[in-house]
Amino acid sequence: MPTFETFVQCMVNGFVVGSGYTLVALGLTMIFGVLRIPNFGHGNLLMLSAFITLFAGQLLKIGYVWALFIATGITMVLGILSYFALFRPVRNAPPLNLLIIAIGLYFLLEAIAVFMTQGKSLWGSIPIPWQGSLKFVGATVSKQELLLLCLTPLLILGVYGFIYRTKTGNSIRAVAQDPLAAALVGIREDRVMVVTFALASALAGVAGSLVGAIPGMALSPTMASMLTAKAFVIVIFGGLGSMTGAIIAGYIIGLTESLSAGLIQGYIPFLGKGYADAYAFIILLIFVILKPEGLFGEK
Amino acid sequence: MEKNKENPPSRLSGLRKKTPPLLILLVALGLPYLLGDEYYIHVAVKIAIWCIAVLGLGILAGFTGQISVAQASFLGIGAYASSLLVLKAGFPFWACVFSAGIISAMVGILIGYPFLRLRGHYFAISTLAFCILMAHIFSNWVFLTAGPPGVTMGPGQVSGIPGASLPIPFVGEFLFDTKTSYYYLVLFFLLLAIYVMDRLLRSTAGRAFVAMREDEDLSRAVGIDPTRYKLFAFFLSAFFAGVSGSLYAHYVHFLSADSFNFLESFFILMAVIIGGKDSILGLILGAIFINLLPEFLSFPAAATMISALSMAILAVILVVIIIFLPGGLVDIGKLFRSKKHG
Repeated sequence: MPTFETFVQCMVNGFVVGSGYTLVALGLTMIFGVLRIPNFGHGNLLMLSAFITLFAGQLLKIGYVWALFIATGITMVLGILSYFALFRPVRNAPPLNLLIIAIGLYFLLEAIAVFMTQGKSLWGSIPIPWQGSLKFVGATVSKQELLLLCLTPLLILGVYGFIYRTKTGNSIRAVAQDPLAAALVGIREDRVMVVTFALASALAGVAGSLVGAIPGMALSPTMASMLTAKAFVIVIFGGLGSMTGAIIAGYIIGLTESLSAGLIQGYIPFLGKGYADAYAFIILLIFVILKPEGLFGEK
Repeated sequence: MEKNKENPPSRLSGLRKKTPPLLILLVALGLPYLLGDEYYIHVAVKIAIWCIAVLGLGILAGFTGQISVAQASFLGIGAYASSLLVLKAGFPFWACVFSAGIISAMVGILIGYPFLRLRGHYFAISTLAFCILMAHIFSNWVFLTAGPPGVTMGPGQVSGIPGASLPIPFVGEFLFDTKTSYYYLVLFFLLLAIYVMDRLLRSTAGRAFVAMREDEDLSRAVGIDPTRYKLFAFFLSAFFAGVSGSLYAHYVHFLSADSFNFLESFFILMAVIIGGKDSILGLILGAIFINLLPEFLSFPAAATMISALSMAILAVILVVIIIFLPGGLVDIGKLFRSKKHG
């Protein structure tokens, strides 16, 4: 039987993984709110940000904190660019076309990463100033993981403050609720889109720098493909367009994955080792059948 | 040419309408002799097999408007089902292709029933989840699929049952054992698929599909049962993919779980949209385009850079087509015409 220590360790791991998922899913659900399509390319921004942090640290010898800001900035610019170059020209096309654009963005970002890494797979890890780990009720947490754990709620609070307390935030919510009515009261759609893309991309950028620097994290241009898919699962799970839903679902999926990997694997014969990545999808499939509108989605 | 347009429809104009498809058919029939080279014929076979899966998704995503990202899974189910039917149950080729289609379609019904209650993107993401789950099953259910190393079914070494090998399809005394003959075999299935689809789209069901895509609530109001017709579309789409997968398994003699992941589904969906989702010709154009593009994009550079560069160019070309030809490649004639006039 698994011990209490294993359980605590799994909980901690779950919250760490869940933090990464939540930051990506939050951006994804915001973009969905205003653009009305799933942006398949979004997760790859996280991967690019991780690589930018890596190169800034390893090649340019920039300190980690500065590298994080630079990576986030570049990711933000890339996100805004993707809106102007790709999504804006087809804004009024059928949703299916926008979907293909999003898939195009996915391939484009992955190609950029392959160029950046020149096809080499081993680049080492991102240099971080705080090494070592802490002990917590029998569980081990590295300092980088702790940073991610603590920063995520702060970032979420910041996003909520922005969305619910500022005028720009209100206009984002207005466009998400009813684009036509928002246009009628004089909200400029372009401005809202740019701000949303910038905010969502910045979240993915911060997440990339933070998650990428966790000791033992393997960076590769394809590292985000499963993450993107899981972020979608989380967004659907929480209800499309719902921010609270995305946050809660992000942590739930993270916890489920680590708990099932650490505790029940080996006890259920069918779901063996190779299925660790599949739990999120199994949960979603069961969930959409029982409650098609998501945790917090309106029908 | 311009003058003829104003003439009343006559037998001649009917003939003119039929000319382009007939021409394409002629080219398709003579293709192995036009290409000559073994490798090009191989590409042609692959495209023809792929076309069937794209046509299938065309029914579901193009005409019915249900965006599915699971087509690669049904391709995989068809492929693995036929390898099992042949290797473990000793099915002959023709029965195997049909059964693979049916098995795939049955799975389609099974997941289609709960999924089709979901609307729009909920449906799309759920099919994505299904596709990823299937990819996990393909690579982990070693008993059925031999796992990541893949199933080898070539004459000679066979995983699973030693000594057994996938039979080469035949009609009477004739064996489809060369690339050219296999091309004609696949072409036969493709033409059959096109014929079935053409008849279907002119039928009540076909009109119901389009009606649901245009306005689901309105079509419900005029007596179309959306669940039934969507399920039918899903069934057909999975059936086509299953047949395509079976033909693929019989052709390549090697199945790897990686061939059926969600990126493959993305490519099939792209073929549908890039070609033009409103016509059979468009779907076929899309399938050819998506497959030929990487063939043209092989650059003399380092191995991984080739894939990165071609991936980037592919993405850019896709985006440009979507921006300038929202209706797909079939509209390319319209683009030139509108430029001429204004």
